[in-house]
Amino acid sequence: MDKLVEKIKDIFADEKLELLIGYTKGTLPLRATPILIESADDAGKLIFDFTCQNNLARYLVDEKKRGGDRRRVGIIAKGCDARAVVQLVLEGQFERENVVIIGVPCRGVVDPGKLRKKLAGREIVNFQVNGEKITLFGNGFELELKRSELLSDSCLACRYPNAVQYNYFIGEPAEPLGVRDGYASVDEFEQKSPDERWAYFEKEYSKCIRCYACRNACPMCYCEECFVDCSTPQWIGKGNDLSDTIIFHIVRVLHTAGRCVDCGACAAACPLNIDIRMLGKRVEKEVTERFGFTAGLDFETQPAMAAFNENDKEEFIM
Amino acid sequence: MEMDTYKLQKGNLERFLQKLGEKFVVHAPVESDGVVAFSELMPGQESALYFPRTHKPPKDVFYPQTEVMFHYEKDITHSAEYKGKPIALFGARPCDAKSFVLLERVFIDPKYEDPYWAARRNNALVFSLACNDPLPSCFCNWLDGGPFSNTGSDVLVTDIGDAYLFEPISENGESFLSSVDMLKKATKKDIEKAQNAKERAELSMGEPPKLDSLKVSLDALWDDPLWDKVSSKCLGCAACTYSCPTCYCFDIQDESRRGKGVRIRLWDSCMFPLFTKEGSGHNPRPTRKYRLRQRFMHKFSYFVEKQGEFGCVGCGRCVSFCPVNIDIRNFIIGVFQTAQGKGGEQ
Amino acid sequence: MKNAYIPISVRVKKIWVESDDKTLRTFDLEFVNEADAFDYMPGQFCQLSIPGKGEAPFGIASSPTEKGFLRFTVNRVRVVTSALHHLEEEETIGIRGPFGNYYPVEKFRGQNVVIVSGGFALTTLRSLAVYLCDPANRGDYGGITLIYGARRPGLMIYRDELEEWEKKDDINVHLTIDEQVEGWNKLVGFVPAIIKEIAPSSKDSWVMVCGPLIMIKYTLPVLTELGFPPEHIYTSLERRMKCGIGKCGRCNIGSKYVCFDGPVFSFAELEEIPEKI
Repeated sequence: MDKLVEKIKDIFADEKLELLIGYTKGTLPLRATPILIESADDAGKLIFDFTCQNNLARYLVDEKKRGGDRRRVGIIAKGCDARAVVQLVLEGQFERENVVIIGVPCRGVVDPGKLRKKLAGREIVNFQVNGEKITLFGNGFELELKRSELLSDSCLACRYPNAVQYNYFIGEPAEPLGVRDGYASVDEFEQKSPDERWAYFEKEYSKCIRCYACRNACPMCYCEECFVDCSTPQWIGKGNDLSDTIIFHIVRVLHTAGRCVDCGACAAACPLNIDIRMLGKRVEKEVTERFGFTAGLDFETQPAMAAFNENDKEEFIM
Repeated sequence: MEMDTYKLQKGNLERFLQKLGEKFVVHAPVESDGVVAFSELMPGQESALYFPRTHKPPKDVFYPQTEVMFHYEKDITHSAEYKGKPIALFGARPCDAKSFVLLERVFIDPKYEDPYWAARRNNALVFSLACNDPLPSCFCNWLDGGPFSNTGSDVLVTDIGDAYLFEPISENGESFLSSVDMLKKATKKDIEKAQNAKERAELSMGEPPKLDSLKVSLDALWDDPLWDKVSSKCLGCAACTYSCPTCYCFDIQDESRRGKGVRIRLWDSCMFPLFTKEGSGHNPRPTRKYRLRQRFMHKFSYFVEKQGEFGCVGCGRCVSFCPVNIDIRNFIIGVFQTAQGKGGEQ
Repeated sequence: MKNAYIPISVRVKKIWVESDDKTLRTFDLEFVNEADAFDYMPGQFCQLSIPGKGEAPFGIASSPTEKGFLRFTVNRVRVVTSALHHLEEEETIGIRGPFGNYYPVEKFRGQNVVIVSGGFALTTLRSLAVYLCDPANRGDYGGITLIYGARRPGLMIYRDELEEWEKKDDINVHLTIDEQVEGWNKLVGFVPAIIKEIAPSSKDSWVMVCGPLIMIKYTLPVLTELGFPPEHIYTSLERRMKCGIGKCGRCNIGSKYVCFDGPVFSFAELEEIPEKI
């Protein structure tokens, strides 16, 4: 951690940063929280470990909205976050020169929703890491789990744990966890009958309270006016009626097609542990297979949904 | 009038709830796929009373997220208030029970009565379940509450191991309990057990900070940079608002088709950018800082002015659910520290 | 208690276009059932309701002394106001109200009243002016002055009526436009500058000022210089509204709900509120 802090101080000076977006210790066990610091003096607050779930690229878009997109901003970036930054630059959200990507090696992050589910309503006061095992301590109980049981599903399927594009990289690059193949959950799900699949989505999305935590946690959702808020015309109802809710999730997934980096921020943000990722992952698979495109790997390749190639498959049109 | 405490062996709970279901529609915590929320208890369905704090508060039992106010066809409107059996809410925690007292002050005032709230709330019975094991994120004791508080309850239920004690708090609670044969009178030993559980629970929560000067401190910090700091990481979603037992802001929308339709009331959040956006395009709360400041000021200053108490029951759901770990407890401490740092006139 | 969320049926008696750019229309509405007619005071507002489109709040422009109709002037911006603009005579819509507080007519009994307005904010002030000048009330008040400005004559509302009032001697009317145009032989200049020129006396006087925020911003210092204390200067505020009865939590400025504690506030009250208008 000291290495991180020292290096950040250097970067602040060398790059003349005006803002750095990173993580600091949260108020709950196994939680980190984003922090925006404007001076190297505050670098001592920074941490990076497996509790750093949030996708910080989200704040780059905010930075732009606040009218500060001329500021030189540094961002601590896991592999997925860095890909989000690249994708945002390709989408013209800010200039490449104005963002300094500081890559850090990621071996997966804890999904707070998964933790809550494992604890079945209880809360912990402390934890201890022993290699691949984590022991959770609460008032009057103890629970030992494998690390992978708490990591976000996105991490378990991650192919790019380290920033592919970066200005700096602090630490030794991490190996992909390789616990599951990227699309295993989607492939398994596709084996189900349409009725079974519909029943699953109905069950999941009935829980949705339309808080939009998933949308707001996502760096790719930066529209000035989201389609759910548009009143002329009113695309969907604003209450928690199931058909309106499902349309919201479907359309959001379509809007992020080819842009999603599967950072898992949406699923982690959901207070009700809804399986937000299933639809998005299926669409991501479609984009990868159809167009051979993965979001955020380099600054040259045009995003799949923003370009047309004569060789694109069109069998659905004919 | 001193009302005796009753006792119910745990094995009889289902029968008790059935009896309750004769006169009332019973809402209790129900678990579905790991998520626990209040819903109508179906025959044979088990209630998830073991769950320390439900994901969703029972707010939507009396104040549904989406509620039809009236149906209309051309000029004719039919008001659609709840007309079912009175509601019995079983297993709300003391923080949730208190929230109804606070919400009532908003929905029912001398000038205007909200008929949709009133239709569900009136004649309802609230059985609150005391918290033997408060969670680390619970802070009801900061806000004049407690794990065994009976504010807002008709009956306070305590789990003493093999049985439940039912302590009537209101006349309606007593009236129902005295009509149920399967209840016995609690013994002195039972009551002692409950008292011990209460002390243990209260002790486990530690000493709360005094919030007496919170409103005054907050009012003085309107232009302070602390708002920029807290709001800088806020996502502007409604995870806090919708999981909060005392947040009540709503929207009214019409949904229609060919001259017929409904006007519905639905939950809204002051954290959303469109909340105050006017038709002209002007928005008096243009950034997240303004909106976060509005939410916290409303809870800890404006609500005090209008309704006499803080608009927060310290349930801790927002602490647990905020995707970026904005912790309202830290915010409160931060306000005191900032106020002190400014010369401590408080 | 009556259900304050259910709109009452009203019929469009008359509509006319108020401004030369057609963004402003005035409506006279009458109750479908006489029994539904309600009493109100100048300064109050109603929610006009078009089921299927929604509702929006509008200040009542007619005075309670004018029987048989409720007058509203609507500026077309989005969904509800466009629907209102498309109405024809005899069509029915809904109305909820009257909501809010009203201009403190009891407070300035026996004293002078200066009414200052700009643009289409004149609505509730028209209600006040007509109320004060009504023979039943006129004797209770001292001098009544009206200073009203618009960008150009075509954007003035109630222009014909105002020109009638200019001829009356129970109210002093001063109309102004921002820049001279051909055919205009009255005052020219922004409202704050005109107030400075006219310099109404602040002795035993009260000011009711409604207009665009920028006008208010520059008018306040002029009034203060003339000696009007903030307790004697009132305005009517606006916010996006839904319920209109102080429950939905949307229209607050600080701890005050514009629909319930307002919309009429004195500047002394507003100074106490940290949230800016």
